[in-house]
Amino acid sequence: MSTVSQDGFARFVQENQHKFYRLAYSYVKNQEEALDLVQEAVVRALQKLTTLRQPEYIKTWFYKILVNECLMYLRKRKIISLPLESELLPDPSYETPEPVELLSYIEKLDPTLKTVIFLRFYEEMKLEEIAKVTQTNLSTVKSRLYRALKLLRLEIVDEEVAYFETSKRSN
Amino acid sequence: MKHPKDQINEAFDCIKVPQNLDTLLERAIRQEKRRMRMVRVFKYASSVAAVFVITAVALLNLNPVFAKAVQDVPVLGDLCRIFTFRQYGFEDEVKVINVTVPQIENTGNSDLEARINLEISKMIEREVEESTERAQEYYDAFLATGGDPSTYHPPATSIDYEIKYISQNMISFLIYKLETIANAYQTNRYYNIDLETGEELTLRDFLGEQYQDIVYEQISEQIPELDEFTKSMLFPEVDIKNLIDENRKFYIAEDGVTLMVVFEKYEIAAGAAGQIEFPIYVP
Repeated sequence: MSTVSQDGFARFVQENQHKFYRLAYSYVKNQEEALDLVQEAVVRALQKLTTLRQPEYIKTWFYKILVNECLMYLRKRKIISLPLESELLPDPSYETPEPVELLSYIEKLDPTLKTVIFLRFYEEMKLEEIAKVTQTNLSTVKSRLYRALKLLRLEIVDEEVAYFETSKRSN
Repeated sequence: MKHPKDQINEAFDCIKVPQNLDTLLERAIRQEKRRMRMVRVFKYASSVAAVFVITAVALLNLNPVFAKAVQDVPVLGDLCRIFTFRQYGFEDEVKVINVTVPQIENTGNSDLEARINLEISKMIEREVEESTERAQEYYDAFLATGGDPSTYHPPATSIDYEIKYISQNMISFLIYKLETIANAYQTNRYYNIDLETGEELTLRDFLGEQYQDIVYEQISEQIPELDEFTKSMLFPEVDIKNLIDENRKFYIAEDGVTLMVVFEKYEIAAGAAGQIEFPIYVP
């Protein structure tokens, strides 16, 4: 059995900290709170490091802690509110939105949808890994991904989703 | 048209990462590593001490020469001790709680011991009760907001202690509760006890009537010397002087002379700065 050392964990954090911060920020939209949440997740992960049995899963393992930390925080502050779809939908006339504009739409998404968008594209995780992080099943992940892309009015081009869809049809 | 993946990545890249993220996380890891190491050392030290005492008691009764020799060794002869009295934990679908209860002994004042030990036990009992209630509320809220019980992570509470300073005349120790509900937060109770009078020591006892001015002056001198990150996190509108009163938390540093004045997380700075401590020198 191999484990991740404390130093190994510190390196992992250092290499990926920008992503952690960006995810946390996209939930809380506040610098101090995002810093706080990433810090808490890191400390908590360090305390639980011995429970990570397979080092190759460190990424999904850590994201599970971070996502959980952020969602618990939002729930506690009760600032999870499902935005109305009408205020969420970008202007249908737009073709390719400016990144900042798109970010503002992503930030308005429900946290569960946001998580999937982030992990799938920014973190380039497989759908199965996302299911592990979010503790849901594959079909939930897929439907969330679809829904998020649709709300953002982005063309649904996701090779993996497409692959699952075709394999399902051929069965 | 751009691939959605690229569009999304560009969008997330717009989130500006604060420059201090690196230092902040590095420091959080360093502090946590140190804390974990200390907890291990204290646990080990207290169990070794307990074994040693039992052996020593047996020998004292058997061997008068040994008894004489022990009196000359201050550590075993007349030093008060803080030891782990009881460790327990319980866990269900709502919560996880781990508790270490310390007690003091060998103070040469059995009334004092009984009083403090009772207070410690009661305080811990109260904290456990409070955390249990909070966990239940949290669980109920989780379900009420549509949370799936199978994805619920029970909040963990642990209560433990740390010895700061021990001598013939004084003991200083900390009992802390670490609770991880959403954000982890820690509650600290510092004990600084004069073993002769049995009284709890306050800043006034060390620094005299002018304690507020002395502490405030030393803190004011130290603030500019804080690291840039901590400085940037300080709340601008806090009146530190007003926060220095008889209830101000502090402990006695290892050297037995320096007082460490403690401001808990969120007290004078944003949460990311954590707990802030200032060494105060007794003139």
